Amino acid sequence: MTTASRTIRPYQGLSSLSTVFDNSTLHFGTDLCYAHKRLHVELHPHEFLLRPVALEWAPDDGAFQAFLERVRHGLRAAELEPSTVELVVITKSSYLKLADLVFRRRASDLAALPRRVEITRSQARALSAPFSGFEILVAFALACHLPRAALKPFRKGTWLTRATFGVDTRLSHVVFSPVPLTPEIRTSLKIGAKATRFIDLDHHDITLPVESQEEPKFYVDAELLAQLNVRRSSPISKALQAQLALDFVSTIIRHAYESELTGFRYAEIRSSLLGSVVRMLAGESADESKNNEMLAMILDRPTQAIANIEHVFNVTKMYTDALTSEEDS
Amino acid sequence: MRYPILSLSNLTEIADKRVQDIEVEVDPYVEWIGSGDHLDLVPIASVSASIVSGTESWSKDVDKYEGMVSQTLYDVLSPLPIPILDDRGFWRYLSARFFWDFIVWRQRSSFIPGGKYLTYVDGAKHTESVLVRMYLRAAALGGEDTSSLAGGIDNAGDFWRSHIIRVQTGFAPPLARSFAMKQKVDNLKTDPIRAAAKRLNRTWSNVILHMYDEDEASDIVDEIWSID
Repeated sequence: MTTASRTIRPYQGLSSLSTVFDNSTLHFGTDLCYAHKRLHVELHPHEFLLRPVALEWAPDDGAFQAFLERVRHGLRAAELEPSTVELVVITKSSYLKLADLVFRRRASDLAALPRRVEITRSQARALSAPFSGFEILVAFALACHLPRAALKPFRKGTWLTRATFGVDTRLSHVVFSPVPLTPEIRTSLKIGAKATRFIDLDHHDITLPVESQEEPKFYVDAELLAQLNVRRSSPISKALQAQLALDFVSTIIRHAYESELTGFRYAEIRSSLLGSVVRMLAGESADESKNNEMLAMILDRPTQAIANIEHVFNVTKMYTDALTSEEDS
Repeated sequence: MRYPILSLSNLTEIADKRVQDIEVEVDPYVEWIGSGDHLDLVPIASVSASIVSGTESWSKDVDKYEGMVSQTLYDVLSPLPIPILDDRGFWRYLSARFFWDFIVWRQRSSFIPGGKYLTYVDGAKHTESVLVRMYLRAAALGGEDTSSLAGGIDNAGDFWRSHIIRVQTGFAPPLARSFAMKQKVDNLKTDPIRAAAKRLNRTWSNVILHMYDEDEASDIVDEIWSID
């Protein structure tokens, strides 16, 4: 019932570069966000807009020299000329699709790189999105096209190593917006005429922020969906809607389990689809420990998690109401 | 700057009544937030009047009209401070106060009791909410005189929603322009355009396409388009 795919990185010789940003930090006012992590803040818009933003490649001068040396060593190991590689910083905010390339520096010019780079709102529009938050992507990437060679990056813009830093200002919601399954889509997806639903996770990474990627598609038979919308308040429609939502969430739970995700903490997946499912299970007011407990349940005991989602949705009552209304009519 | 917003619950009340043909004034529900000068709404009112009146004589593909007037909407809104445009409450206000008739015209089949009309006015999803997706369509193309391209592709609602705004390509105007130009010329059907868009999305996985200028974006779109 689902399809999934993973990003393939068909390059050799890049492993030395893979951890160069691990000690880098994003400063958002007095808050710190580490590489590959997300910071969640509850701020009034004017407070959000006043906070200075800066990237620090390393925590002190000694660590910064080690950072520079690791980059140089990594490029040698990858057999890449430093003049063909650049360090780029891109700021993004999803709702208004704002993206700005705010900093770039050739790897051959790293000696002039400051340990800390201030990012201003005049150059980075994404930092002015207090209701959506922003993400900063840093990467070493090819600055130009190179001759094609087996297992070597050659296309301009190909990243050799990268890290993201996220600042979230609101919790993402589970994406549950069924799309009509039309005859044309059935043909395209090779689905039989009597099938009622199809969940297509496609490239969606359930551990990454929902708003930064294509949403999963939940196709529901077009006629059935129209009937559900027209009768959305009827007990039978409510029961069917609950079942569809349950199917969708169950698919995410099974996908998380089958993907063998390990080592994740709730704080790292808070803005993702998986994070939304954790909050459903734990309740919106749950603390960090409870959220981590529910995440562990999803990853280790998916059938138990699915049963508990049924409890959260109160499916039994909806089924009973639907059956009772059928008897009454 | 002080600007008007509508809460989701107030919008829901207004929308629910309107689809039942009950007249509702928006102003009593509005809250002004922020500080400083009030936002001048006159230019927005003027643009809304022109967009609404244009629908009266339009008998062709409704998405084409949406695309054509996206630029007009973008031109009047893009000078506003980003924090205002980032506020869903502001889009809800615009939808209910100035653009309701246009949005109903555009999504007519959904504006019935029990229909999914809120999706098109609540500002929540930038791929669905009509004004937000219009603004983003023009923005994705670079925001300068894009009307011939934004409204130049036949039956293109899904093209813009699924292959530009919902995905990374919407972040990169040179790439979005090249992709849309190609589709305007070739007008690929659902399957082939979906396949081309998937190839472009996969390229994003390995390549930071924000680094591409106009010519480079055009080259990579040509390359992706030519793969069977």
